[in-house]
Amino acid sequence: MENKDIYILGVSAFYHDSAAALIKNGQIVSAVQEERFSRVKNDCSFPIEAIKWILSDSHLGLSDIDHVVFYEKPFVKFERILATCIHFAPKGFGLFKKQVPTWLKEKIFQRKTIQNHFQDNFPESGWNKKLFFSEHHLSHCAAAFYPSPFEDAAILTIDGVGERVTTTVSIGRKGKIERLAELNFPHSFGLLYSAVTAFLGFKVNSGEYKVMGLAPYGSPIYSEKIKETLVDIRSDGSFRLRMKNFRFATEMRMFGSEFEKIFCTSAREPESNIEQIHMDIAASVQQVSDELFLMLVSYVKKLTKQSSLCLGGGVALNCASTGKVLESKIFDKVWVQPSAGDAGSALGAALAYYHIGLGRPRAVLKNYMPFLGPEFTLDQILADLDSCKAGYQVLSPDQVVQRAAQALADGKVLAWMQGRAEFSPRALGHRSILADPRVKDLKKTLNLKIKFRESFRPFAPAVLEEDASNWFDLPSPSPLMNFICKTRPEVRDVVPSVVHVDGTARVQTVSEEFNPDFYKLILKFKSLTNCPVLVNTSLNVRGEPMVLTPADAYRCFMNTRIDCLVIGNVYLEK
Amino acid sequence: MVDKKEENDDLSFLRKKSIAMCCGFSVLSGISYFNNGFAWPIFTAAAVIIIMLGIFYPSKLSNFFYYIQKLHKKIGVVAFFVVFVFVITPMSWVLRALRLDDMTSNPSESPITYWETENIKDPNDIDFTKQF
Repeated sequence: MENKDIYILGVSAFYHDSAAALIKNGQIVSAVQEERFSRVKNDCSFPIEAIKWILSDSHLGLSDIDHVVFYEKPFVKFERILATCIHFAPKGFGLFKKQVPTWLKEKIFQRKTIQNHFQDNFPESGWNKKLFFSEHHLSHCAAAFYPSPFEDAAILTIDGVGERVTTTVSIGRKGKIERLAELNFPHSFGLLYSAVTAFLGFKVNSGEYKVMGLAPYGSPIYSEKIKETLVDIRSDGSFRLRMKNFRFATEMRMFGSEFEKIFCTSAREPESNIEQIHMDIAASVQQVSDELFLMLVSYVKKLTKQSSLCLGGGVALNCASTGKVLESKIFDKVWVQPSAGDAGSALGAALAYYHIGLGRPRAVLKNYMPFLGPEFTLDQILADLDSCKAGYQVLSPDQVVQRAAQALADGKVLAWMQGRAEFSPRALGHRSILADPRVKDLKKTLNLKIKFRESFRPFAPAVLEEDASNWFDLPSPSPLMNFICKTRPEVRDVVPSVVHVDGTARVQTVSEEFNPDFYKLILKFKSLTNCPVLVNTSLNVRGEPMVLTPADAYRCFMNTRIDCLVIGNVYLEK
Repeated sequence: MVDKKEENDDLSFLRKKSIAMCCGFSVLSGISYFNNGFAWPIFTAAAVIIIMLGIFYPSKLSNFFYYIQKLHKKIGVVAFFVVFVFVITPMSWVLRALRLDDMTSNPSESPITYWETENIKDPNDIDFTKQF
């Protein structure tokens, strides 16, 4: 009997960060966020361009896809919205009049909507219409566990809210996931963090990492107050929010006027000056986050008795807290899904269906790297650059590395685009802006003249894996840039541009095996400067998603003060 | 090319709306005729005018439908307010009185943990075909 390949397409959409992912017989083939194509940051629309690329990349038609899996269950989500309205009535008309009509008109018919998208865009496809629905936190669990290098592991997922669940503790054993405990809406640490993010004038669902970056500038003087007035945390890490101070369950905003009394200041207007009090608030919520993570992880350890931990859900992208988890050594090994938010759930939904829905066994991945997006051939690169009327040089691979490393050593800022795009909010050396970390005022230049973003934002170092321990206090390699750790005191003055104000850094360790092009570049840079570290930040400007195509990269290059651009073997200089 | 397609889509949308409104006025006309025989000529005339404009000059209806849509939104808010006050709120009181509301909104002094371990749906039993 013929063994037919099983193709599963995972889809996440209609909330934020929509994405699509393809697996073949349980092996991850490709995954990409819609925002990279649409150029709309955190795009929530149906990921049709992502799906089109995924199918064409694998030379498949929609008829070849055996199962399409959506990342959450819409009816359960609608039920939660109704239950919330009922629970908080007579408060909550604001939420009711905004949410319920939208759901009744569009969202409740998501099966039909998704089918229509497929039929409209692939009219001749002969799609089998097999559409399945995973559960939101199961998708997070699956995205965190199945690509991890562990046979068995504890799984902790924390996010804003899925359908109803906000936090889960599970065990992954071989192909199965068993949930042991959960916390439900409205008690969500993700929503608490988002409420503070909104209070500090940043955008919910995308500005949280700015709060994390702002935190080291402040003192956590409000952390006790947060624990007294906003969240009640028990010794086992379980918690409940004090809902009278929040508004997300009754209105279309996150916090109430009580926040102003708690923090003795008014909410910061977006784009206004950041003052010390805002830094103190950020530091305080970050400290509560760190404490909560440690309590949660201790509880997970006690409950599961596992030695390895997988972290998923949007809150797991808080690498300051995950760094504390790694440092605590409560678990021997910690793995964080690099696309831990809802985008990664597209992958999780597909994997959950394959292993749980179809009951297929799991082969442990030793080293998952999220290079799952589009890449471009030399011909495509040249065609794109020609259409932009760009001047360029095509070099050999060795020459490219030599020229790029020399430019970096000369203090130039380099845009580096190689291979497949990252399926992750972090640039890992495939769509990166790179620079010499020894340059003192580089942080300011990069933030204000190249990224056009707030001056407090830190930059991450990419370091050769074999040199990492000499420069950073990192207990294990961190190829996915998931943990913040201390920089060794003796090198803080050597690489000031990648050391945050509190002496920490979000390190990416680069190995020849898993990131060869980037490794060669850093190695060459080291041979020129004796420094195995580069500044690595995503190749985009503020408010835009990371670049995807050579044309995107060229536009970014021309519209900023980036000095050189490398795309594959093509070298451009201003 | 795209503009042309969008224009055609808009016209088709306006035509569909005019047919729907014509049907509405016709029904009103019928009701009025059988009820008291008073206003039906007005509704019939409105139905005829709307359908004629819809067929021959649909673009002239765009402003009309814009204001109708605005009115519709306002009526919608009132309707949702009525539902919220007369259905949702009493339901909330009843559920609270019968202690059937399982959502919690505030911390409690009594439990030593807030973890929920009962009634957890085992992911291995999730029916992927269902949306609930």
